[in-house]
Amino acid sequence: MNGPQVREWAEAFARRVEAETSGGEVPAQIKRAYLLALSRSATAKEQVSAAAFLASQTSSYVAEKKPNATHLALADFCQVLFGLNEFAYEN
Amino acid sequence: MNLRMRIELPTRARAFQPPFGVSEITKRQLEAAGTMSRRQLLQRAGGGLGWLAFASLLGRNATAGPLNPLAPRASHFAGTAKSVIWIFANGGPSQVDTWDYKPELAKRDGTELAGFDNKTGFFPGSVGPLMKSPFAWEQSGQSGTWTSDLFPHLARQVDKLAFIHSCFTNSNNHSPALFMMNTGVTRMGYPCVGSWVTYGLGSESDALPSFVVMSDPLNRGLPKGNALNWGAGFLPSVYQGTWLKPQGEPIANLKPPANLNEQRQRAQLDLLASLNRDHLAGSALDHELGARIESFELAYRMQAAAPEAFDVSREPEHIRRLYGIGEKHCGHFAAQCLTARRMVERGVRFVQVYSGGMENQQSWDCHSDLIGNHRGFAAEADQPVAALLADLEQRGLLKDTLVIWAGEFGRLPVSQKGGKPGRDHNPHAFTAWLAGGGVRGGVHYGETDEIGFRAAVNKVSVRDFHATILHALGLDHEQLAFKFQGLDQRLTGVERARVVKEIFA
Repeated sequence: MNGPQVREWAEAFARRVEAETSGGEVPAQIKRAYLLALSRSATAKEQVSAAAFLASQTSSYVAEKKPNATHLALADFCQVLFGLNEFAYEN
Repeated sequence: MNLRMRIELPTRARAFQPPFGVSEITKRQLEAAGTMSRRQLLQRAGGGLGWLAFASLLGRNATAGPLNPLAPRASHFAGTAKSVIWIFANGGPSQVDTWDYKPELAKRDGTELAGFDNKTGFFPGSVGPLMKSPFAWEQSGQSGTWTSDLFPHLARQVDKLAFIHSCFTNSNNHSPALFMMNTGVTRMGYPCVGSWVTYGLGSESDALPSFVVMSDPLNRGLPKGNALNWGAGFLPSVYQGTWLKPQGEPIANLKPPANLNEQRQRAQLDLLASLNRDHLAGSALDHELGARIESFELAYRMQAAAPEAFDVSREPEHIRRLYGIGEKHCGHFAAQCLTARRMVERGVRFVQVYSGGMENQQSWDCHSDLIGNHRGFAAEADQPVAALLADLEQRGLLKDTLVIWAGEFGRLPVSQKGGKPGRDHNPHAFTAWLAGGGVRGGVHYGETDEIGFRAAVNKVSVRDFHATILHALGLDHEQLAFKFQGLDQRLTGVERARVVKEIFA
C-alpha cells in the first residue's frame, strides 16, 4: 500500500500506459491498463468506477496545483491494480 | 457458545431460506448465537455458497458489514484473561539456576551422575559432573518462594507468580523444541498458540495487528525457525503473528507516499475494496482472498494507530524509569516490555517477546559460561519484566492479562565441560511461570527430582501447558478446532491434554 517500490512501479506502469495509448484518452488508458495487468478487458462497471476514480483523483491534484495531475491520478489507479487479489493470485 | 455447532449446507439450490430444511433447534441456536440467517449472510456478502463455509469457520458473531475474521468473538466459557504477553526465554534457561531451587544438587556438586545417558543433551562428548548452582538463593515474598540472585526485581514480584516446575518437552534441540513450545508439534508449519488464540477470540483492536511478536533488537538473531514460530500454519493466514522490526520503524511503510493525502488514499482503498469484493463474489470461496481485502483496511487504520502505540517516549518519566528505558543493560528489552503493555492496553490479543537472540552466548543457551550468560540475560530481563507486572497491576490490567515466562527446554544439572563450564540442553525438565489473567500467585505446581534433572511429580507436557493457556482465555482446547485435511485439528492434538487448574485462583 505504501511501499516506495510499489509506488515506483505504479508510476512506471502509468508511463507505459500513457505511451501505449494516444491523446490521453481516459477510457483507452483504463482498457490498456486492464489488458496489461489482468489480461482481460475491463467490464462496463469497472470502466465506470475507474473513470470516476481518475476524475476525482485528478481534480484533487489539480486543486493542489500539481502540474502532472493526470499522470499522478493514473499512477494511483495503477497502484490499485497492483493491489487487486486478481493481480496477486494466479487462478 | 458451541463452536461445534454447524450451519447445515443446503443440498438443494433453492433452500437458501432459513426455515426450509432447518430444524427448530437449529433456528433457536442461530438466534441465540446472534448469527445471521443464511439469506442475510448471502445478501450481505454478495452471494456465493462459499461464504457459508466461511461463516461457519468464523463461528458466531458475524458482524454487520463485511465479514471480518478478526472481529472479537465470545469464548467458550467465561475466561479470566483477555490477552496474553509471553516473554519467551529463548535458548532454554537453566531451571536449577533460575527458579527451581535444588539444595541436593549443591550437596552432590562435583560427583558423576550415575547412569546418565550422554545423548540427553546436544553434546554427548562434553558431559561433566553434577554442578551446583553458582548463584545465591534466598526466600522471597509471603510465599517464601526460593529465588536466585539473578532476579532481584522479579523476587519482589514473586507473590504474583504461579510456577510450573514439572514442564518437559519432546526435543533436545532448539528448532524442534521451539516449534513444540509454540505450535505443539516438533515439525515445522503448524499454527502457533497466538494464531489459535486469535482464531478463537478475534481481536479487541481493529487498528493494530491482533498478534504481535518482538525479537532481539541487538543484532543477535531471531529464534531458530524464525517466522515459523509465529506462523498460522493451516489456519487462515490472517491469524499469523506480525513481527515488529526490532530496529528502526517497527512496521515499515506506515506513512503513505508523499503525493497521497488522506482523501486520495481513502479513494484508492475504496476502489480497491470494491473491485476486490466484486472479484470475490464471482469466484469460488477462498478465505485468504477475503482476509486480504480486510488486511488493507487494517493497514489503513494502522497508519494512525501504530506509530502512537509504539512510541514509548510518550510514557511519563517515572514509568520509563520503572522499566529501565535508557539503561545500558536492559533499555532495549525495557522498550519491548513497555510496548507489550501498550499493545494489550489497546486491545492486542497476543504479544510474544523473545528474550535473547538465536543461540549460544547470543541467548539463554548457556553451553559455556553459565555465570556470564545467565547474569547477562537476567540483567536484561529482570527489571523490565518485573516492571511490566507491577505496571499492569497498577493499571488494573493484570487481572485480564496472562503473562507467561517460558523457554523451549531446560538445562542439565551436569556441567558441560569447557573453560567456563555451562549446561547443555535438557528436554526432561524446565520451569515456566505465569501471572495475571486469573492465575493464583504463590503456587508451585509440580516438581523435578532432587537434582532438577527430570520432571517427576505432576508432570506437565507442552500440550498440557497449551491447554492451560487456552483455559485462562475461556477457550476449551478440545472444542477449539479447525477442519483441515479431513481432521478437526486442535492445538492440543489428539491425545488427552490436561488443564493445570491448580494454578488458577
